[in-house]
Amino acid sequence: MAIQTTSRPAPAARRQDYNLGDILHKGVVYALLIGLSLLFLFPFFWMILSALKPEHQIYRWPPQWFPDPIQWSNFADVFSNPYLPFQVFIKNTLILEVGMITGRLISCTLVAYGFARLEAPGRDLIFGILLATLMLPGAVLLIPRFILFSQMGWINTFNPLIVPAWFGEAYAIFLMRQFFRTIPKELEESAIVDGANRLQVIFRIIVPLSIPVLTVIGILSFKDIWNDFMGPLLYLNEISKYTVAVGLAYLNGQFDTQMNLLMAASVTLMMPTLILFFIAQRAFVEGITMTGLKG
Amino acid sequence: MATQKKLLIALTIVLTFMSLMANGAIFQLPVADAQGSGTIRVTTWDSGNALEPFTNAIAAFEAEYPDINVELEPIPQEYGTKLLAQIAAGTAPDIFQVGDGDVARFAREGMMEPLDSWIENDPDFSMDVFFPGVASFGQVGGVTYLLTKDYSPLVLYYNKDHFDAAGLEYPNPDWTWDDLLNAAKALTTADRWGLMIPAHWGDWLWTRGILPLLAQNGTHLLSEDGLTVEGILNSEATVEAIQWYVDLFKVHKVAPTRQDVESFAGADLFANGVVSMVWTGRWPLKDWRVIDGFNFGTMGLPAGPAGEGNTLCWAGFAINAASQNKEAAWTFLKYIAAGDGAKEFANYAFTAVQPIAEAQGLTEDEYDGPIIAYLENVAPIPEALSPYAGECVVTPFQQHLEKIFLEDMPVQEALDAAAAEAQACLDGYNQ
Repeated sequence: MAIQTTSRPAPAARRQDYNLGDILHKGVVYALLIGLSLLFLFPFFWMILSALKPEHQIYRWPPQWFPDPIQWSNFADVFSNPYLPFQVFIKNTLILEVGMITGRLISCTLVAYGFARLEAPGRDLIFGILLATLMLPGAVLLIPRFILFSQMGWINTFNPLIVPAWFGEAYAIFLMRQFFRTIPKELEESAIVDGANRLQVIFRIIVPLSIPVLTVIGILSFKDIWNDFMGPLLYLNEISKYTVAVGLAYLNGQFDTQMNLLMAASVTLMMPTLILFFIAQRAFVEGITMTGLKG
Repeated sequence: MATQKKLLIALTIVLTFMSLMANGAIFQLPVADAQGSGTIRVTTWDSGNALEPFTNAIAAFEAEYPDINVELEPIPQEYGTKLLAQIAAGTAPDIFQVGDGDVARFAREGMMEPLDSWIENDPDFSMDVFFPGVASFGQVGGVTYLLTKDYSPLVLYYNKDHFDAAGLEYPNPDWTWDDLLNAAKALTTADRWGLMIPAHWGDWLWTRGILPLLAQNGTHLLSEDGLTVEGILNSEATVEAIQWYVDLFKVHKVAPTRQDVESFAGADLFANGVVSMVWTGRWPLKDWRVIDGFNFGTMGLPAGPAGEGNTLCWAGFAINAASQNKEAAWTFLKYIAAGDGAKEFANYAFTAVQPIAEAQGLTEDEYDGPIIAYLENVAPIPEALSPYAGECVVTPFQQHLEKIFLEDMPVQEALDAAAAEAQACLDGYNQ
C-alpha cells in the first residue's frame, strides 16, 4: 500500500529526463499490476454486489452487474434472523481466538526455544517426529480424536478446540525455531552470565526480538480459527456454542444456499481479518520475509 | 548415559500412558450418554430457513408435553461425517435424519431402532395415515426403521412462453418419450436447449434422475432381491433407455452437456430461459414461484415404452438404537412425522401424511397438483434393494456412463463392463 507522495520540487531541481524506454517499462509494470489487482479484487466486488441483490438476480444470465433494486435488507435479514444469532457466534469465535492464540504462542515459544537452543539427546529425532505429524491427513485423526474427547466428556465444550492449542502446533514451532536460530547466541550468553535463567532469557530477550514471527503466527492463527469449520462443527452441538464459520454454513447448507444472504454475511464477517491484516501488515510482511515463509 | 536412561524411562511412561488411553477408547463399548430424564436430542442437515418447521414443531410439542425437553442440534454441512463420528463415540442424538441412500446401510449396521413394536403397542398411531409408496422408503426387509420427513418425486417443468412462441401444446399426462423429444427438438435454437435432464444443477451422471427412464422402460439397475446385476443393468431394455438418454445429448443435441452447464458458472438456466424444459425434483419450485413474470408449468414425467415410472428423493427420521430415552424419542418422532408437528413440515415440503395433504389442497394447486398426481409408479431406489448398491452398482454405472459420454464407448459395451464390475463387487459382499 505504498502511496507516492510528490513533494514540491526544490527550486533548483533539474528537469527529469524521461526517455521512451523508462516510460514503456513503467507502463508495462503498471498495466500488469493494475490488471492483476483487478483479477484479485473482482471476486470481492462481485461478493459485495451479490450481497445487495435479490437472490434470483445473482444467477441471472447474462450476468447482471448492478443490483436492481439495491437490497440493503439482505444485511438486516441475516443479522436479525432468530435462527442465526451472529452476535453469539462472534462471541464464541472470540473466546476461541483468545484461548487458542494465547495457548499457541506460549507453548510454541517454549517448545521452539528448546528445539533451537537446548542440547538434548535425540532432540533432532523428536523434532523430525514433530514435523512428521504435519504429514498426517486430518481426516485420519478425526474419529479417533472425537472418541478420545468424548471419553473425556469434552463434547459440546470448547475444550477440544482450546486445550490442544496449549500443547504446541508443529507448523508454528517449526517457523519459530527457524527464527530463533537467526538470533545471535551472544545476546543470551551475556544475559546468562549476568545471572538470568532460561525463562528470563526467553521472555526478556528472545520474545521481544521475535515480534515479526509471533505476529505472523498470530495473524495466521487468527485467520485459521476464524475460518475453522470442521472443528467447531464436530465438537459443538448447540447453536448457542457455534462459531462464525459454522453460522455461515447455515446460509450455505447441504441442499439449500441463500446466496445473497450468504454474501451479505461474508462481506461483514471478512472485515475483522482484513482490518487485522492492515493493522499488522508491516510486521506481518517482515515476519514472512525473515522466516523465509512463502505463501 | 544417565540422561539417556532417564529419557528411556520417560518415553516408556509416556507410551504406556498413551496405549492405556487408546485401549480405553477402543475396547470400551460406546454407551450413549445418559440424558437427563425427559431430554432428547434431535439432529438434521437442514439449515437456514428450513429450520423454522423444527423450531415451531418443537415449541408446540414442548407446550403439549411439558415433561419432555427437545434439543435441536442442526448440522448444516458435513452431516454424515459428524453423525458417524457421534455414532462411533456413542454420543449420537436420540433422533437423527437419514437420506434414502443410507437407509439400508444404517439398518445393516444396527444404528437405528426398529419401530414395529413401538407402532404395534401404540394405540393412537397407525401407519395407514401415510402414502404407502412413500412410507415404504423407511422400511428394510419388512422392518420399519424410519418415518418419513419429506420427499420429492421428479417433475417436468416447462417454460410456457417458449411453448407459446413455438406454437406447441403444453405437456399433458398422455405425453410419451416421443412427445418429449419432439418438443425438445422444436424448442432448441442456436442459443437455447429444449430440455435439461436429469437435474437442474447439470449433473448428467445423477443416477436418481436417470432411474425413472429405466422404470419407464420396465427395467432397473439390479434385481429386486439386490443380488443380481448381470442381465439387468446390461439388459436390452436398459441399453435402450440409456441409448435414448445419451442420444438427447449426442445425436439430437437438445440437452446441455455438463461442459455447457459449467460454462454458465452456476446461472439458473431454466429461470433465465436458456433451457425450455427441466426434469428434476420439486426443490427449485419455491424459488421459481416468486420470480416476477416467470411463466412456467409443471407436469409429471412422460411415459416410456413400458408405461409410467418415477422415483423419490426421500428423507426420514430414525430413533438412535443406542438412545437412552426411547420412550420420549418415540413420542416426539410420531408427533413430527404424523401428528401436529408434521403440519409444520408440510409447509416446506411434501408431506407423507394423507389427511394433511388433503387439507392443504395440494392436489388443487397449479404447480403441486400435477406432481402429486404422479405419486404412484415409484420405483425403489438401488440403495433400498441392496445396502451395497451405492458402492457396487451406482459407482461403476456412473463411471461407464461417463465413458459413453466422453469416450464414445458404445452403450452395450459400457453397460456390459459396468454389470460385470458391479456383479463381482456384489458377489464379494453377498457370499
